[in-house]
Amino acid sequence: MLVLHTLTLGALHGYAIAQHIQKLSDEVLQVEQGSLYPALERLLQKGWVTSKWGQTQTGRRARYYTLTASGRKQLGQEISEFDRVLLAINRVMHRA
Amino acid sequence: MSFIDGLRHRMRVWTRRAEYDRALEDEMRFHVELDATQQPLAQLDAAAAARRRFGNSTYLREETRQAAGLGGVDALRADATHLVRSLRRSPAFAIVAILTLALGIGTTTSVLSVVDHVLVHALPFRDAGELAVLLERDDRGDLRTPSYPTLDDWRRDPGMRQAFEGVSFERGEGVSIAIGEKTDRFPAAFVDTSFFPLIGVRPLLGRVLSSDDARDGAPPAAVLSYGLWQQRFGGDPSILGRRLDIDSVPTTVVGVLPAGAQYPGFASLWRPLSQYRHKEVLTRRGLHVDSRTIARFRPGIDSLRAARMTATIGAQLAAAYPAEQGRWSPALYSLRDEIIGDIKPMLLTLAGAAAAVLLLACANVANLLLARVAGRSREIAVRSALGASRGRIVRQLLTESLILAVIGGGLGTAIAAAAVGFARKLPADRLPRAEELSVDHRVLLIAAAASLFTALLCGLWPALRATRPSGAETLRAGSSGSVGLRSESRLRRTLVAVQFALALMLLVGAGLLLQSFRRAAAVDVGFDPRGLVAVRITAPPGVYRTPAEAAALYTRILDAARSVPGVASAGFIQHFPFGSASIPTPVQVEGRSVNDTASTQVFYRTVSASYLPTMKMSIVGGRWFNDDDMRAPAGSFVVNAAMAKRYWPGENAVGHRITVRRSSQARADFGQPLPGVVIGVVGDVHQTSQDTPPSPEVYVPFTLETWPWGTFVMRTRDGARSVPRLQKAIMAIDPRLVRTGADGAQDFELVEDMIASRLAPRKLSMALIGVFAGCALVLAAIGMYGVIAYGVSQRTREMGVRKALGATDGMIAGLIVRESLLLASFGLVIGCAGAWAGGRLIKGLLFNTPQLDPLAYGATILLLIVVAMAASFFPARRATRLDPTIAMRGD
Repeated sequence: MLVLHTLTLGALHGYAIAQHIQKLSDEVLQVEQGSLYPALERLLQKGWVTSKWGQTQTGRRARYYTLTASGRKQLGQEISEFDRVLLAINRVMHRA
Repeated sequence: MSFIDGLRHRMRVWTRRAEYDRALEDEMRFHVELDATQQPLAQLDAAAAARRRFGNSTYLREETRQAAGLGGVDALRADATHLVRSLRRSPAFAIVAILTLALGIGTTTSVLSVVDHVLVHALPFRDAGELAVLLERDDRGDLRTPSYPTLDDWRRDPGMRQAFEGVSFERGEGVSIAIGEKTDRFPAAFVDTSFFPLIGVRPLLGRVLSSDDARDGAPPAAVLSYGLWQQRFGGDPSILGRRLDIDSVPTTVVGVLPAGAQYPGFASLWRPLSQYRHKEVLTRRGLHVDSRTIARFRPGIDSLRAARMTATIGAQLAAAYPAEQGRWSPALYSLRDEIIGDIKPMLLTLAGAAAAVLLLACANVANLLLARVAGRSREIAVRSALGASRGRIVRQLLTESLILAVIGGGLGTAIAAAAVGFARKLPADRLPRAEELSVDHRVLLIAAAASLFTALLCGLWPALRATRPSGAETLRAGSSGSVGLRSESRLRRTLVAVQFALALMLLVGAGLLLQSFRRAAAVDVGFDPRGLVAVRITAPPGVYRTPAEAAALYTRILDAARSVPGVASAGFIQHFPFGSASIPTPVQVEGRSVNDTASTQVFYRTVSASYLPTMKMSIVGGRWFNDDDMRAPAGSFVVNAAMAKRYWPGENAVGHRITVRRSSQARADFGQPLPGVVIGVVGDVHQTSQDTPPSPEVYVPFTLETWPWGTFVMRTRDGARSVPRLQKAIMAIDPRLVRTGADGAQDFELVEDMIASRLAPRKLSMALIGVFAGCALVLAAIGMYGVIAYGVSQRTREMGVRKALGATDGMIAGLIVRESLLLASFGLVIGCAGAWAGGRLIKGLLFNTPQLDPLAYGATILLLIVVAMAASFFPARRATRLDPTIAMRGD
């Protein structure tokens, strides 16, 4: 979900995705950055993202990932599902 | 859409695996390098930190590849490499496993393809199972063909019409066809117009006979068989419309039937019944000629219901014509049974044998795989100790058995294709419609599935057991560590016992058939066939028509034959024994009521006085014909021993007066009574084959009723070499004479060959079962060897201890051979029971051989015991040659 959400910003390469997630979560979600790649592969398999090789500003070859239409739909579903679960948790914890 | 995108991605990954790997590595390196440049640390540390932050890149790359679905490919490739390597180390295992599978699949598929072809597909007719042959049966169970007027009444009967779509008549008779300079005899079938639509055969060329051909004044028409068209007209398509001279009548060829699509099987051509010359066959109610009446069941009617529906007309006709039809009623038989009937038990036996061989092959493969996995339990333990997952190991073992099964199956298919290709070339009388035979895909699938299933099961089960989480024990146990695998070894022993049981059943079957063949071949046929030459001679159409002219011709032929150097004597008989047909006659004994004897029929043979001495038959009582009997107008008959026994049991037949009926359907006086006295009794001669008992028979002087054609038999000194001289001498009398073999061959025949050919089907079935039995024996021997050899290798240390404690070589070898014999005898006991039960299946194929023939059983049991001992010989020798110090040290 995080990866999909990150990609709503546009086409990004792996490193940028990793940096973005880390920054947004205030370094709370500290994972091995490499584990992003198996996750990306799974998203590719499902067809929620596509990838294309391109050039970075520094002129290096990098693989850019883009959200597909079905990926966007999936993200919407996952967010609403997440909201529902979050709501339920909050209710149980008497926060809502 | 997402599905399509995903699929496209997957395709790209699969088709360009190397590129994918490179790209992935590149991408990850880029990530780490980029990360390093963002770090505030010194260059070296920054790179290390970035790598740390990234994680284990090798692991992650594998993980990504797994996610991309490439893990399976890698494992498969590794398994295959491993397999090739390990098989190269023990090629015997692979070769034996593959050959076993190939043999099992190949033989089973090819034999069952033939069986299926013959039993299910061989009949070329539309819905052949719905076709019935109609006969008449009396209250004593005797059968006869219905006469044509009776058949006409049947056709008009409402019950018959309700049961059958139609009833059709066929009458076979030889015709002479002039082709070029030569005139030859061919069997023709005269059929009514409903015949072809009823059996549902479509012509290969032109058309079949129609009702137009039966109209008054219609031009004579004929349809040719594929065989006649090919052999005599070279398959020339311009045959259509050609005029042939058939019995001196110009006849137009209107069609050709496809290969094999001929009924009756003997026919070379078909003509309309309206052009049949002997009209009395169609008009006389009491005339039961050699003919066929075919009917097709209406949809939903089976033979039981049809039998009820046809009972009424039988009773009606019996009441209307008590003399001809009293006590007789319609009887139904399946046409399929008539055509394939006599080979059915043989085919079923072969199918059973093939299934047994497949079972044996599967048992062998199971055995091999079980032994192999058991022998590799340490290797498996090491691998799992090094971190291979259970699923990974199981998959490896499964891949192995799968690859073996696939190679074996492929080879088996090739064997089946080759065997079926061979069977396709068999002549039609051995295998009907052989040219249409093909490998039966369902059978192939079943055989392949059976062996695949065996391979997988035997790969999976021990694999699961071997990978149970007790690897440490196996590791520790060393080479004697078969503790956890005791149940496998029990299973393997059971399999070997079953193999011996199956092998015993097949060998006993082969033995019984061999005994039957030997006994049939040793049967005294009632005459001495050595040096006898026979030929059937037919006068050309329109000449020698009167009996007197024909008799004079036959006498001249006999004289000419006798004058040939090397020919000791020559005789005449109308239908030669072992030939294709015999003609029956009703017999009436003077002083007995008609009812007592009227329905019993005996074979009718017109002979010359020289026939018996030429054949060297025996005289039992009274005397044989002399030349005076041939000239005398009063009837004198000779009967065979079987007839004497039937009519005058415990009495002397000589001197009794009997009346027979003139039996040549081609003569106008057909069916007229022929009274006479029995002057002698001769020994029985087998009329059809060695393995069918002789029937009652009456011999009549050929001058009393002169057949329109006949068989001449010559006793020669040098057999085949006298044929050209005989040919010349006989044709010098009249070059227009038509020669055919006594048994349907083209020309002169050696009687010895003719007799031997009667046993050809028996020989073939014996040989095929023998091949199967041989396969079974080899497979069982391999299975036994495998189990014993494996047992010895597992007990190396035990043998070492025994030797160290003073066991002699003899004791050690005895231990091993005894084990093998114990296993074998288990199998033999089960096998004997199975063979006894299965003996019923082949009962119909046996001749003068009891189902429990002691020789067949004894020899088989002895053979299998010897094989069991031989199979344990090499393992036993290996055990005795063990050096105890090395054996006990183990690994």
